[in-house]
Amino acid sequence: MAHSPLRADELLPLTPPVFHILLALSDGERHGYAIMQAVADDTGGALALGPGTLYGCIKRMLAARLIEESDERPDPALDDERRRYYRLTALGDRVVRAEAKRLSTAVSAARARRLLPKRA
Amino acid sequence: MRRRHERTLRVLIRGYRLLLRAYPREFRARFGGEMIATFRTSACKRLEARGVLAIPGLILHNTRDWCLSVAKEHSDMTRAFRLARWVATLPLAMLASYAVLRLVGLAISSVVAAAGFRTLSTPPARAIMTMFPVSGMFAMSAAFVGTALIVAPDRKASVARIALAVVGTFGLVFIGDGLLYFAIDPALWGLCVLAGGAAAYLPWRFRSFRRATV
Repeated sequence: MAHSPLRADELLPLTPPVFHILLALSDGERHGYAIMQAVADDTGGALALGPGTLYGCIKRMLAARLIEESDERPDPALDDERRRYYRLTALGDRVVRAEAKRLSTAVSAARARRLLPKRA
Repeated sequence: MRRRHERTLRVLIRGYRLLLRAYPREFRARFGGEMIATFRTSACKRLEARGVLAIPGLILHNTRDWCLSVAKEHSDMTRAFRLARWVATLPLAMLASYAVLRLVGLAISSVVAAAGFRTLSTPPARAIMTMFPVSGMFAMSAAFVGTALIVAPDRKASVARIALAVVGTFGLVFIGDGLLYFAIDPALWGLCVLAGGAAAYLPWRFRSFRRATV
């Protein structure tokens, strides 16, 4: 894997689609439609990505080396050959962790100001 | 899937193919096939779940997505093109600066010779610096500081980045002077100042481009 000179915090804050795509790929590699499904499930349908937004984000994330295309296909015989699988890079992993931490800090601050209910 | 839905799906995909033409060619070539596959799966699942009632929602969702993403992709291409053009023209700008400095050196040297002062045997551009070392050095220092300020990306530019410009500039100046046997050539100074500035500026420029595009 090529080493990226960018530090994780230089890319923060992430846009919601980019964060959720990274989150979806943190479980393992997925193709476009599976990413869309995972994002919709994670957000309870609040963030429904269309193909244009999804592949626009994927293009920029590939350029920033947050994700990379996977060479392996789970089952080529059963799969649409146009589908490509994507996975997180080491930088992508660091970035999604850093963003999750940043959001967690924000949530803690909101909780401290009683904008959110306290954890049970 | 029922036959009626298959026909509907074919029509929808044909319509989506037409919409794809609005994306930049490079984007379409790289992701067009995948986008159609994703659209097909998505449409198929919706039609299976809700039948024809899913069609208005599907069209609305994808049209909104298309409007936003087409605009975004075109704006990205424009920015990438601007950056590529800027990087390509930088060496030309440096060469042009070199040529201008040479011509200015020759012009001043000619004026000095016409005024009856004794000219030196060294090349004219070098002679100017030999006759007026203090003012020449001052001018070059001013040019250097000016370049360092120009290359500073914005108000938030760190001292470290300007320090990098200083190091880059002086490093190149020493190399250049070494090549000319420690002769002080204003054209070379100017070239080195620009190269040092570029050495500091280009990495920032690429980083900010990548940052902006994620």
